[in-house]
Amino acid sequence: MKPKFFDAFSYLLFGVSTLLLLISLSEICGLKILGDALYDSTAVAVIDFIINIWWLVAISMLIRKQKRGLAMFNASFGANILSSLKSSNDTWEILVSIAITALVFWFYNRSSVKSYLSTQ
Amino acid sequence: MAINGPKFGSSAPDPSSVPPKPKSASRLGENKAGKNLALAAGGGILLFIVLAVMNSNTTSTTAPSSTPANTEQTAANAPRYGVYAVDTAENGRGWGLGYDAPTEEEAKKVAMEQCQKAEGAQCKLMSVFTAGYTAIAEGSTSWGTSGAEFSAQDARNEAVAACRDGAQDPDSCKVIYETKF
Repeated sequence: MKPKFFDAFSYLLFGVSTLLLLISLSEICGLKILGDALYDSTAVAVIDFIINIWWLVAISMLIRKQKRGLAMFNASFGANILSSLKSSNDTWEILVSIAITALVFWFYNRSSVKSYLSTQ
Repeated sequence: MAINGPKFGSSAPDPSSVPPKPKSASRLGENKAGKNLALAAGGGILLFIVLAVMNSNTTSTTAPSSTPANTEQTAANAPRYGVYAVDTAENGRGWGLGYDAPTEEEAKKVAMEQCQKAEGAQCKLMSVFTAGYTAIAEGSTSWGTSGAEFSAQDARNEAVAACRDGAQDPDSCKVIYETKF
């Protein structure tokens, strides 16, 4: 496990989560910042808004090598899958969303990451 | 026997000459992580602002000037076209409507076809409209159409008014068709 790669991935995810947080917040307020709605309903936008806040806290803990961050991150898995399933009516969009979610969770749950976190 | 303690004649060290304790490595790491997290968040916020600005530019360049204040019409949508074809023959009541078409030509073609199917003897195209509410009213001896109006009620009123204008039996004018783009 290369710490630099772990950090770079985490910072990138932190930035993307911040962006999604703002987009979901704007859509909850009725603003379609992308021209078209990213979320099919306000309920999904609210779920994603909460997930993104959760992720921001978890990622900031992971960056500081706190193992609790991983536990917190994993706790949001169910909500993430629910959000992916409800995010669209298009099967392909749902599959892509689930694939990205699975990739992120796989990345943080690798044994090398766990051992890296436990050495700190 | 060795005796520990200050030697006689030696002075206490000058506090100003004592170097400050170095910050711990973990503390330095936390500061760096905090800065990088702020940078990452800043990147996300910046991207959000860029997207918002780009979207507002798209709105001003693609929205047609005749587009009414329809909250459901998104800026990314290209304009859709509609047109009526009406029978201009005396007492002619045939009409056709091409609407929600991607081009003017498509709307005109559909409107004309419908009017001719309704046995319109002298079908003629009316002005093209791009978005909004529209309605058609029909009476016993006349008809009337609205243009693209900002509300369904305005479209109905205009269609009925156009039907009543010069009609022999104005009270027979009723809205028979309405649609929204």
